[in-house]
Amino acid sequence: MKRAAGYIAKRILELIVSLVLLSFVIFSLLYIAPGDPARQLVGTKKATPELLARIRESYGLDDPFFVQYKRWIEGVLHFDFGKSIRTDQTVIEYVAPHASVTLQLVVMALVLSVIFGLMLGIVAAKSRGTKRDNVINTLALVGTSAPSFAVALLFLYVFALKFGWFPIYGIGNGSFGDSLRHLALPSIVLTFGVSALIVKITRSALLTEDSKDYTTFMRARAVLPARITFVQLKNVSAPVLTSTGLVLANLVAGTILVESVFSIPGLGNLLASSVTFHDVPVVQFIALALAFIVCASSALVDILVFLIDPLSGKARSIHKISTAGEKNR
Amino acid sequence: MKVMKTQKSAALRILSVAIAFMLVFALSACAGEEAAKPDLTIGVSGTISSLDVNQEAGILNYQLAALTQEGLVSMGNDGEIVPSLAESWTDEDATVWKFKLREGAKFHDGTDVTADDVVYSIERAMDPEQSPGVSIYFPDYVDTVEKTADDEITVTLDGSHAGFIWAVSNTGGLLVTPKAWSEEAGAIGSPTDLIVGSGPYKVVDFEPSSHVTYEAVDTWWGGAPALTSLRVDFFGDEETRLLAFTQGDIDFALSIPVENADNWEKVEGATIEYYPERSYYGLTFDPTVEPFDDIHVRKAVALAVDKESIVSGSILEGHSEVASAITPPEQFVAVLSADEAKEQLDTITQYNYDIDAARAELAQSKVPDGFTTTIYYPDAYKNAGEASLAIADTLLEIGIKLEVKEIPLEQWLNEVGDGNQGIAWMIYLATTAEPGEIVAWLCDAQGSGINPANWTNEAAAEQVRLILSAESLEAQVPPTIESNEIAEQEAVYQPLWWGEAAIAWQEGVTVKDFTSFSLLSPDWPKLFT
Repeated sequence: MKRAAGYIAKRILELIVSLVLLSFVIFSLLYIAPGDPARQLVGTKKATPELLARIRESYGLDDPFFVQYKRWIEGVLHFDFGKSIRTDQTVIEYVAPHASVTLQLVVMALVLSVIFGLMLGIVAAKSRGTKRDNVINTLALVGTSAPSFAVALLFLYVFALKFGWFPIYGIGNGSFGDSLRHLALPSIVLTFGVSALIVKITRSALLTEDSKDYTTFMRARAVLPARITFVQLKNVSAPVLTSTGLVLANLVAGTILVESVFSIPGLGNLLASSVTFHDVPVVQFIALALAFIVCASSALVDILVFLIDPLSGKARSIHKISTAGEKNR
Repeated sequence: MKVMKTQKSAALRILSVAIAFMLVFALSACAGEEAAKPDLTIGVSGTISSLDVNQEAGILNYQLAALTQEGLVSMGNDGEIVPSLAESWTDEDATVWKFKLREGAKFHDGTDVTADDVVYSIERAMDPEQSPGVSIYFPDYVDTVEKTADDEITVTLDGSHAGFIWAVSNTGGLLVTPKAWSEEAGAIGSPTDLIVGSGPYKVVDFEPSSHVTYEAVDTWWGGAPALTSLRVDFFGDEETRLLAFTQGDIDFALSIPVENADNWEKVEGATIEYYPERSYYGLTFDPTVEPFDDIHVRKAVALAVDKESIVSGSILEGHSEVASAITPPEQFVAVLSADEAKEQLDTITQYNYDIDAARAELAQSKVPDGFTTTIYYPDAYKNAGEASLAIADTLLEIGIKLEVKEIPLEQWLNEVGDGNQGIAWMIYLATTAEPGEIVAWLCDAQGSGINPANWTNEAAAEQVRLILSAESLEAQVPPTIESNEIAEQEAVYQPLWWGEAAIAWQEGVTVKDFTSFSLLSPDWPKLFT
């Protein structure tokens, strides 16, 4: 227990250091990248240098780098993430509605990815070398390599326009059911791209388990195949859990293009436009929030894997197998 | 053969399971209740972040603001100035402007529009910190803004400025909001502080990057609006907008790039109409950047651009007009017919495609053997990208290697006139119908940072001063032409084309009297029935 607490504390510390470093890197990159938010606010119109200077001054854009960064960090420590340069709203107010949309999308896609990834991974492993295995591997390969915007347009054309099963764009009227309907196809597109990882890891981990002594022993004891698979799955939970953490990171990255194609007002869309606008407070907040989700989920997965302790898990499993085998006899 | 059959059947089984899952997913998700369909759903390309033009002043912001907000005056369907919150006005030598406020005008929150609200809104618009988007319409020539009676506002300028009338229009710098509400609101025009105006429609829902919904009000001084409800959907992807139109999810599509219009014409029952969008597309040569500091280089590049082929060939397919000058003819609508304007614009020095003349000019320059340079075009303007490639081809014939790069629109905006680009795109969509609007920026040759070419020329700057201090819009015409002429003699701009855009609508709907100015006029949905 003490060892686990130490491990968790270490991971949390690593997370904090990562976020601080990341915030500094992003702030630096936006600072040195060419561009001027004041110019964007004025648009393609005549603007005198004095006018631009006044706008820059009002947003503190003329201050030296470390002054701007220090001001931002101080704000963050007081949960003040600043105001969007583009809309003058507080960052939280501006980002929150977008975040809820992306959260729904990512959760839906994650659930689908895990369900499909596990199911297809198991099917592929259990039918190794068959045509079914080949088809699943091919699908996984296509899912991994096809660009998400191309898959999105193809799915839109086929399942939304031709078959009319899904709405083409947007998030609907705001009700939960309508949001679900509108986010269904985008989440399927995301699932198609990222579940391949779970399929591959599940398949290869199960195949490894298949060649282990305890599997042979269970088969010799006439344990039901479903029971064997269940035990094997428990034993491969560590790599599968780790791959789920990676899937989450891929999902977050994938939302940018998918949200654009489906005209979904999510974080991905907002992040892309905020980067090009140089809306630094918004970019910082979203980047850190996304980094936090990815780092936190990765840390959570590591902690879970640590807590599972595969050796004792296996020992418990073997004990249960013996009992199950005797019952089946 | 058997192997293939087995493989096919396995694929079919997996596909069937996947499709069955999608069907179940789709059907179960259909549980969401359908919202009432608005009278009209419009699909637009791109999005806005704020409904407050004072904060964000893109052309789409202005078009949407025309539904909800008003200035003292507005732009009519033919580009003329028409009364709005001011029912009449006088201008003494275009210096002392007195506006008589309309009786009975009300904001959407039920309060009366008062002179105090108008004065507050002008003062807010003049402040660059509160209004970065529109404060440029109020240069330092405004001396005072006062309420001189309960129904009168007087603006005193430091001299004659006929163009000031556009500053107090909804297409320039004034969109009136209630003073009390504005002072209380957090971020005006955001989803949490929906804009409050006095126009024919009020905003009921706004989701940036998604949609904005409007409802007609019964308090508008202009009478009952044409529609009871209206929804504008934002699309980040042009292909998705086309699919939504094909499906019938949107009734109208605005500002379709002409290069995509072919695809829209294929939609069954759709009608496409092209219109001049009063835009200028051209090249800017920055004389502060080598080797464009040499006039022979600028002239050589200008002469090597085959703008006729770009417009009539496969890039624009005739859906634009070859530009003989910076200002489009429709911009003179308040004072000249398009033909009269065209006649005057054609007198300006032209650089028509002549590859031999281009070669001869380059031979006289300091880089007779040519050079390599880069042009960036904004990703939202694909036709500028295609034109850039065509220009690169012809420039290569005289030894100039032009590298073409696409950048995000926002980055392009950032870099306009940054002094780092010898050759650059200028794309300008006029909002007002003031003859001198575009050249007052492009030809204000007071030096770096003032105009996008960063050029200095006292004679051109003087012409711009004449435009800004003109006593009438008619008086703006000669200096508009003259300043453009000086720019061409100096070869700092090469006008390429005056753009067209297209609108598309579904079967069963009609559009009448649509002009270049329609989308900025009050109650513009009345054109769509």
